[in-house]
Amino acid sequence: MCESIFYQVLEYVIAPIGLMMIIFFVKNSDDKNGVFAHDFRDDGIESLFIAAYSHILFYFSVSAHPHEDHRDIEDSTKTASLLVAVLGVITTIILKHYSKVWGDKTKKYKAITNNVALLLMANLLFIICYYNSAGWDFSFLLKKPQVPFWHRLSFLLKPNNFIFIMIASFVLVMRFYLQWHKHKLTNDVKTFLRLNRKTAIELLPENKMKDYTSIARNAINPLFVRIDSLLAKAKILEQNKETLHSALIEVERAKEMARNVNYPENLLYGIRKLKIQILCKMSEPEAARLEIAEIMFQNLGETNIEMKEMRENWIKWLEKGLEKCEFVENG
Amino acid sequence: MSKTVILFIDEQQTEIEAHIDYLTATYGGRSFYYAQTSSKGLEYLGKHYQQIACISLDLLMPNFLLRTEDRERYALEGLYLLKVIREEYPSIPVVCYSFIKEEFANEFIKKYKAEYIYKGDRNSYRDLLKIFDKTLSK
Repeated sequence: MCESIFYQVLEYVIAPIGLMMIIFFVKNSDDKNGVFAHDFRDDGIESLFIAAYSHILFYFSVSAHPHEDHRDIEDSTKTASLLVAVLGVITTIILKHYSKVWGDKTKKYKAITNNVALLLMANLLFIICYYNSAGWDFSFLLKKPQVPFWHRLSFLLKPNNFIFIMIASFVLVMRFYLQWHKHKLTNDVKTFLRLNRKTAIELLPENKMKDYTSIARNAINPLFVRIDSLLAKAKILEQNKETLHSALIEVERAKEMARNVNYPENLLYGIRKLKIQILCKMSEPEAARLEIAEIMFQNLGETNIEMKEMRENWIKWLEKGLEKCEFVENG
Repeated sequence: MSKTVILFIDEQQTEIEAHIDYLTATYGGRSFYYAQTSSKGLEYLGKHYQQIACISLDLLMPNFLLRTEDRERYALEGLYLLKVIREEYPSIPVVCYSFIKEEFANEFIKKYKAEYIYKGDRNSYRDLLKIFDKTLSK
């Protein structure tokens, strides 16, 4: 029992730590962009998963074999556990290397193929290690079970087995959660999630949190946030023909508010462009042109040459956009 | 590989529309990439970091991790992102283009060697264009 726990500690603690040490050296040598470090970090999780998964299969198989000698099982457990942990990590690194060489074509399948390939590899290793020591006897697979099926599961009740099955389940659930539930997440985003959590701790220790909260509350003009939300709403409403009028109302409100808070002109340009886009969909060419005329009017008395040029450019770009617009004749 | 792309990470496209149109008119439609969220920005960055000349980063973005409307947390999303970009891509220049007042984020922005331009400033448009012109013509 003690030895078994020792080897499990070796698999679940020392192997990933070893991997992390490699990451450390890689990141601090010439991996300037941290590309290899990214992959190694991901591989740490993969190797844990492989180790846990192969362990489950191993114990399940051992408990299913009615004729094994207990001593042999203990010895083969050690060998298989150690080999699976070490070779699992090596296989992961080799596969990762090849998946990089394969390039973008297979990138979207990379996560899935890696998992499947590694699981197969781990299973094969454990079968070879175990049955090599037990004399390649596969005959039990063909025999009718001697004991009720649920007896075979009694190994689950042993505390050490229970612990690693819990770890394996956790890793398994996390793995599938990230892969399917948040299937849009890329490796970069996953790294971002990890770093983000780290930054949150660094940035907001208990004593600093209060300071940041109170400063931040005064740092942003609430009207700017309000303009943002009105524009976001207008963009959603603009998608539907039936809600175009509501979208126009929201943009008008945002524009009015922007004027009241002395919104810089370049930001007002974006609002004008959105308004023209909506009017275009509503087949209101005159109203759209009026928006451009407003900038022209502003430019009439402008003495600053740089400012004048800037507005002239905006007028040109908006007119260009208006040309592309296909107005439908009303009535 | 030459650096030919300006990456905008900003929740509100209307606020950077004038910059986008400037880049399109001056350098062509492929001279910029717009990402509405941090995750999309990072995804693009991961794939095309060799082509990116400069990043314009908004600090005021919805926090997809915390899923909260709290303004203070809302604000921190961009700061997290700045740290991530600096650690992963230290050579790419970053300009924080935001409505957050400088004092709030000053310490952080200085630490991570980014430039800061206040969106509410009348000259912000020209200041940002100058940086784009400088980085794209390198």
